[in-house]
Amino acid sequence: MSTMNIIQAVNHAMQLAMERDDKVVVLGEDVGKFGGVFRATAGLHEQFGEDRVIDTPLSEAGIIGTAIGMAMYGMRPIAEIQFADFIFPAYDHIVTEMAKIRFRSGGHFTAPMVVRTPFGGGIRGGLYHSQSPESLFTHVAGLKVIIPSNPHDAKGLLLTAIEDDDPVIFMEPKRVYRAARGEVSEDYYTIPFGQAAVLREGTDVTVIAYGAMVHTAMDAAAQAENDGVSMEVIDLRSLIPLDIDTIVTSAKKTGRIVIVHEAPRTSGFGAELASLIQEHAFLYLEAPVQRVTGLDTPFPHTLEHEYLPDANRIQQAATATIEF
Amino acid sequence: MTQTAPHPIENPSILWQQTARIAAIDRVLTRLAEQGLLPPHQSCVGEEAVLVGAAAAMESDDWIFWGRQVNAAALARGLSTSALLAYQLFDQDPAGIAALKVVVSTAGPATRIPHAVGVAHAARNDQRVVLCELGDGVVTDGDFHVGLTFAGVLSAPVVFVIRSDGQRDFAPRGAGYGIHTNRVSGDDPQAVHDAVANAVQRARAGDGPTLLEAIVQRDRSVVQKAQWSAFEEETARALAAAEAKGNAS
Repeated sequence: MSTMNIIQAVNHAMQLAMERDDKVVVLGEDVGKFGGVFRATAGLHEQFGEDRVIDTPLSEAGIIGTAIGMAMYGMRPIAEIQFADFIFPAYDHIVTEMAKIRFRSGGHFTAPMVVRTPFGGGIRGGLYHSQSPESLFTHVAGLKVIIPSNPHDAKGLLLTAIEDDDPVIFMEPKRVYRAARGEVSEDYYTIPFGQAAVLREGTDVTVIAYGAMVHTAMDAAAQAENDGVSMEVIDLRSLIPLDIDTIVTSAKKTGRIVIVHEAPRTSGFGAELASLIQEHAFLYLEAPVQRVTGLDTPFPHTLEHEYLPDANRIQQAATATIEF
Repeated sequence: MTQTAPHPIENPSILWQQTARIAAIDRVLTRLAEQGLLPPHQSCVGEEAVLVGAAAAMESDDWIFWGRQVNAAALARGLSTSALLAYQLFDQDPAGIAALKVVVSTAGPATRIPHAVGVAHAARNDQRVVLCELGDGVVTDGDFHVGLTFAGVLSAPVVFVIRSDGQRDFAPRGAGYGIHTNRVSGDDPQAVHDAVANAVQRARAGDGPTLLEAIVQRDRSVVQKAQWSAFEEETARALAAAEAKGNAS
């Protein structure tokens, strides 16, 4: 075991995967000699060489388009997109090709690849380095969407993603890239997709979060405890596939749900969660499901902490479910 | 480059016979589409020789990226005419074509270019080359620029064959991407075959990608232009065979 942050855990996962399987390659802008804009690929170029750690031209469509071809041929590319905000030039390739190639070819071709991308706000990144576009991918059949919140999960989930025979969007919460530290095994281990983690057990209200918002939710739970409110916190870890059982079990226990995400509220993943919860646990609910989310505006230049959910907003929403 | 019709054909080669078959299938699909029995068919009138010649130049282990045009590549690799018609008509059995290492991409005209480059880059250690078959409409699409940029930077073993009306000069474009370019008449499957075979040889030898412009005139079938008296007869035979196989299956 050693103490790692999320960047180090992601880096270590890629290193292990590349040592195990020479079909695993990394490609992206400045992932090679420079080691990645966030240093996630540091050292890989030196260890594995330029054929397996490929510095690409500046084109997200080219990175993901080329990776799709490499994956179809049998390699296991890990494409890094520097910021999730930059992924949109590749959206056509992701939606039209990467997600559909297995279906379109009657199962003959697959795209066993991972698209790694940091997302989320709170780093003074402004409009184009802060967005949370996860629901643009959860809405696309054929994609898996994985979002870790801590180093242990980041490593195990990334290794599962690399082993997966189909494409995975792996979104890394860059706000806690270095702040979230923890003990991580240096061994090769995987964490199955579709398993949420109950990080804190509670009886009054359930808070569902993912990515950096998990830490905000844990802060809210600690605050609430001082006020005599017992909050359960669920870290989804995997949006697609979704662990509906853990969510429903908790909903039936507490009867009160607060969903937290940074992305804008309208058509966000919280809407899907709220809908599923009322479908599966309607008669157990004591109050309408609350959503604490980013605002329905472009991500702001300066007022990002007004925009982003914080512990107080989560607590207010929890109180609203209790006082309903 | 001036367009010269091939000499009248008396003893058609296998390539010309395949070209006639493609022309016949294209005619059937066009007719069905005109009758409203099919969604609009993307005809390859005047382009048949390019499709046949390019596909024939590839080794069986090479990969081929194809669009919505009659799939001469699958046919060249042994797909039956009836299976091809079933595919073109009903989108049936795409895996049958995929198993032949022919990737059919109908999403957009240029979307397949970066994928072809990716396969080529991954396949170079196996000495495999990729053919990416395209129409000249791709030049306005961003993926044309993206794909050719990556092909040049990676020096990928890929051959782009563009069915072109000759109105654009691809040579300076190719130079800009670091890609070898060449032009060939699209009226003669043998000429296309030879030019593609040369480009494939370059790619296999590690000399990088080629963009080959095959000049076509889309006013009428190359088979008609070739003044091949046996064409109608050949077409009728191909159609009869297709129908017989279709009825049998």
